[in-house]
Amino acid sequence: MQRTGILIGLARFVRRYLVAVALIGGLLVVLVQVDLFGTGPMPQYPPEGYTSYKTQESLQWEKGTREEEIVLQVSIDDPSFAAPALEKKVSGTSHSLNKLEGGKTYYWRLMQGDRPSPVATFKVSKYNVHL
Amino acid sequence: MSISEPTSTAKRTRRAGRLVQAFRVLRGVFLSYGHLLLPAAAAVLTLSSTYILLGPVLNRSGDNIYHLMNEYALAYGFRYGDNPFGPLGLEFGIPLMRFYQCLFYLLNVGVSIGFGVDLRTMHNVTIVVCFAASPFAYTYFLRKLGLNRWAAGIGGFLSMISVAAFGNSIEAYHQAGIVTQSLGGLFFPWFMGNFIGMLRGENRASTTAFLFAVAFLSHAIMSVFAAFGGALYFLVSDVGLRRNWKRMAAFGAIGIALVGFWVLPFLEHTYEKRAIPDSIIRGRGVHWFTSVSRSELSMVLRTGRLLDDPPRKGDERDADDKFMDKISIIGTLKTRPPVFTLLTGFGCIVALFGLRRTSLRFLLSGLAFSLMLFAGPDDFRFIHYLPFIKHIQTFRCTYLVEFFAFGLAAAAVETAARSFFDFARTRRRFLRYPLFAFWITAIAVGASWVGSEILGLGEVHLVIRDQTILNQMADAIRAVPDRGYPFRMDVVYPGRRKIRHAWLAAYDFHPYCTHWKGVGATPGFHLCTSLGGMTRNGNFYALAGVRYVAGGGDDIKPFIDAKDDEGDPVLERYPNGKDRDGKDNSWHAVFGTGRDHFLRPLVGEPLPVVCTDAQWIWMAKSWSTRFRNKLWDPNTPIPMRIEAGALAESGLLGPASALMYLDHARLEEDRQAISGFAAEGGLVISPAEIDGVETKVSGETTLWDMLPFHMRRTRSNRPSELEREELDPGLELADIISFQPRGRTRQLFAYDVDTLEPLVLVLPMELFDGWHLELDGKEHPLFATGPDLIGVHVPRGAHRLVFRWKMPARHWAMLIAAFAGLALVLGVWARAIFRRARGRRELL
Repeated sequence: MQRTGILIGLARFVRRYLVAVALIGGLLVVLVQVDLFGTGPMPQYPPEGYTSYKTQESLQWEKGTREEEIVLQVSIDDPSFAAPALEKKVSGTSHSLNKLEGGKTYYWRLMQGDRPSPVATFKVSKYNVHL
Repeated sequence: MSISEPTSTAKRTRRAGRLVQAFRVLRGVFLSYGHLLLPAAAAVLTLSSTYILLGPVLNRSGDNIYHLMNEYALAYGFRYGDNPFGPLGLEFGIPLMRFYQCLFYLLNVGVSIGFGVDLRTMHNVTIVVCFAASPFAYTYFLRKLGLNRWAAGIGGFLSMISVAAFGNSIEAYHQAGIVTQSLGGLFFPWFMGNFIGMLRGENRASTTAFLFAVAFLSHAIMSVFAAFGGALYFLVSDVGLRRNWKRMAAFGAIGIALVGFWVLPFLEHTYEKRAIPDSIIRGRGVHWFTSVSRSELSMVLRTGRLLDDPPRKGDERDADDKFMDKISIIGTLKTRPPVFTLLTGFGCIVALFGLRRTSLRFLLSGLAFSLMLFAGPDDFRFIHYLPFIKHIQTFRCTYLVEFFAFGLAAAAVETAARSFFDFARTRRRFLRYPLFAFWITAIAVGASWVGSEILGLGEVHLVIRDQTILNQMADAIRAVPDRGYPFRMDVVYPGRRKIRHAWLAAYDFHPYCTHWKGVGATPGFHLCTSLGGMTRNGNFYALAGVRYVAGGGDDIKPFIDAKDDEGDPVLERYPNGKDRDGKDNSWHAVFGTGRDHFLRPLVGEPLPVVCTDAQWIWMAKSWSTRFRNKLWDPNTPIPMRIEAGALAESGLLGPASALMYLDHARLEEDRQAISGFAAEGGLVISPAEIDGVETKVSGETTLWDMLPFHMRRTRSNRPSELEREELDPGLELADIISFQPRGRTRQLFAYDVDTLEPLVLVLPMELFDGWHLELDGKEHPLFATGPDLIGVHVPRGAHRLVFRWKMPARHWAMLIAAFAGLALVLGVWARAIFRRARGRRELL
């Protein structure tokens, strides 16, 4: 009986506070992290869910505020990046990917030391059109 | 003195008693309703600065004018019996009701037509009234949320001077011209309060659904925020689904019924018919369409620029100021210290200590959530899964941020004021009075500052347009004879183009349509090129038709005196000289270059194209870039889009010698038609092999270079070349006589066409659902042709063509459902009123 009461109380607590605490805490953690450690590179383009009909796409990112060198990793159909198709040091904020293969999903991220950026993806249509 | 008369002492005592009693009553009224003085003060202050709008005047804001122009187009359409949900000749022929602001337009135009009110006056009255009433709505929301009445009142008062605002901001309205959100600014907080009340069983589901619908139809973003806000309240409060599922179901059903007529076609349009898909635009316009980064969010929070204006203006602004202007409201004019950021920060601390209260928990969670929304899915991945997130522009998230922030700021102010009041009340007498004096002074100074801000914002932003030049322009244009067919007029005005269009619309000249450029005669074409230029008009201008163009200064000098071979002026010049104030206006010229054709023949060969939306956009743009100066050339291919799976029914394979098959999604349904076409010698161009058909597969070569030789471009088109050499771009190929069966309607065009050869004719309208063509009384297929053109392939001979827009049946069904929903809501209200009245009689 007592255990049930504790569980109900816990469920009520979670119901009331979990969402609020997660939202507030999540935001604070990110902001504190930014102020203390700066920001790393962040993929910007192509946007999520984008489908390319071309054989070439420009990958664009924000550099962030950290000074370390950035390595671009591109993986085809493999979100784990076990064997990236491309791994290259980059200095600017864009890189052109050529000879994209139709029907594939491209995953790409930017490594700064051992800290990866969020993984960005886009698809290439099976039917490339060169207009 | 009689015995019965009271003594003077007794009189004084009685009088004093009455005074005390009156004071007590007043005190009771004040304590119960005094908080409403705050939103009332905000409303009065707002009215005192916005009253100058209460008339047929034009405010300075470009977007304000633009919306007014749309309303005029709607009113114009009503006059000729056009369906308001159909195309009205604006903006690529997009139906006006596919824009965000359905209800605002319908309300203003409906009242204007129904009661004969000047449309500008009605437009302004709606803004001012909604604007002035919105503090009450916000106060109501905070009260329903559970903040005490003074905190709610303070929130309503403060909300009027937000920077970008969720709808309650002078700056938002009058600097950026977000006028259509005025309804949303009133109804969104009202809805949120009602929604919370509904979950508690205090408000009816039908009323909540009605308020939701009104907020939704006032601006699409309000509905998204309403859904986010409602879901968040559900998650952080004690409201249980089991207790509320019936109410929620009724709310959902009525709400969907009320908004379906607009939202479903709107979504259809947004996802399928938008000229440029968001996925392409959004990736590049990062700050407008996706999000700010974490570091940018951190910066704007630290510097207080999210809720307060940038500290520097004009050229002195630093990069951060410019950035904040860009993502909030495109250049605010009033400078304000970061007071609101500090107040909100204090409110966050207060809320953290009071996290047990649902109201504070909701406000704090809401602020955190809306800031995450502002930062976007790059930094907070869960946002990626929220509905419609791809369509939410960053700057709009500021409205939601402020919706929560001002509640927190109000809680902070109320807490501080109450704490100090309690502190003063419990001190010794010799300290109590100075402390109270300080308390009252601080409140008075704060309220005065906020009040002066409200007034100041109005004075800074409300600038009425000088209408002299606009009137003069309208007089000149009025002298242009009616040609009996739609034509374009354009005049010089030293301001935003939208303003002059709106002004002309006010004088019954139909607002511009972006198509009517470029199918005029060569001098007009050159003039258009000179005045417009490719950089300004993009790839589209050569396709459309210049009927009248205008310019000023050196740009037009070569054209003013241009003569044709017979010595006649090539361009007809419309009135200029002195304006009504006697000012020299000779630099101002209006030219007519019109031809008798609205339906324009293109002499090239039709090229059927089966492709996706994105492919079509690229196809159409690249075609216009490549062939814009070759419309007269019979070698020019005319791409005509066919939906995948509908190749056989298109009837277009007969006259075509090549087919571009780019979308293989429904290849099986088209396979037979493709095989037949190839068997008869047609060339099939595809990005991939098609089994059993001889296919030309695109690789490194462009699709255009794979066309048969006779359809390829014959000469290069470098910018230095003359853009078009011919005297006539092919208009003589067909004898086209237009007649308008229903005045200047934009939904019914009729032509008698006589042509010696089969021909592609184009109507400058986007091919939206609902367009039909009758050729000699029989249904005939239509095709999207190039950018923003409706194309038809006409066989040789004399024909009657009738283009007609009919509202699709599914849209009618949604409209009927909306009326049914509205009738239901009104019925519920009527029943409640009746019951209440009966109850009173019984009591009596």
